[in-house]
Amino acid sequence: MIDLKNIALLWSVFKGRAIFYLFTLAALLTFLVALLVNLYVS
Amino acid sequence: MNQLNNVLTLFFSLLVEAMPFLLLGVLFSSALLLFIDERKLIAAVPRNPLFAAFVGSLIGFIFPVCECGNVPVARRLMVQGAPVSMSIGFLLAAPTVNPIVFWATWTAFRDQPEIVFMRVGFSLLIATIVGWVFSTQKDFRPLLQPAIARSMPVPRHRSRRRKKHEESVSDLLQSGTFILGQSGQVQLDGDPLQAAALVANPVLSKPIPVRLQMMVDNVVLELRELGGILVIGSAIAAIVQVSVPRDVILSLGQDNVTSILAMLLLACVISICSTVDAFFCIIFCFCIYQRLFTSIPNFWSND
Repeated sequence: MIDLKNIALLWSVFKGRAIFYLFTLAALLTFLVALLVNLYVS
Repeated sequence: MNQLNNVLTLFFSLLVEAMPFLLLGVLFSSALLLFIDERKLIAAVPRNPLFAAFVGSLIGFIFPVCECGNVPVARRLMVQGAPVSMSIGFLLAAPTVNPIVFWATWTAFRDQPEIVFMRVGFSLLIATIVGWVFSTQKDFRPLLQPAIARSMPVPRHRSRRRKKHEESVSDLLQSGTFILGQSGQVQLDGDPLQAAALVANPVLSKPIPVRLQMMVDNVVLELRELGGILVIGSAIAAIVQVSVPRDVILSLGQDNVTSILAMLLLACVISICSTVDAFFCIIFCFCIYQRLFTSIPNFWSND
């Protein structure tokens, strides 16, 4: 979902601030989940 | 010259990979516009933002589109009055929580089925949380592009100031707020856009051949608009990918924390479609196994 190609597509719907919030929230949660999996599951 | 060839190869590969899914998304979006009644759609959506985000995240099972195709569908959902939490949930989850990606990940990680379920489950969780967080924004229109914001219905939320103003206004006939010629007083909540959203989709009353023609016109219109943007996005992704080699990004991640950050950055730069990224990801698994098995003899030989 979070990639350079998609930023341009999202720009046609959202303003920059919304894209920033969307990407930051999604990236932070993904990082947290991946860290938990890395530390406790794998 | 070699760099230019690489940029062109990556650019065309990204474009060829993404275009069919964009077309699929535009087709779904046009079908939503012309064959779905907004009032039924809004009535079917749960009122709880968290549950609406969860339902939105599951729509990907009905509309299996990747991240290029879900943008027009999410845009259409928002314009048709679906809650923001639902649209954001769909936008984030649909590229992963759909049968095509499930099958592709299953094929790639056949020996590790837990990865398939973790991918789908955690994507669902993250999309629901982000959609729920976005639902705290009562009026989402300031965060949207003006053209989209104008076509969205006005939210029913009323500020204290507006409530106070409405209480102070007399109950006598107000200009533009009543439908004349009907018995009783029917107030349309002030805004003509909201009033328009409450009226049935006029397209639905037209014969099917006319609707199909309108659908084709809408597909062409949206494809021209989003296709152009996709070309620009793919070109930027290809240039960045050649400018910043994958080895440089991967060399940044050496431990539990930095390896995740490196993979996040790599995913952002290479911009591959969610339907095929499982096959790309499995290469790294093989690399890890290879490193593990080549390090064991070295370990013994060092002893």
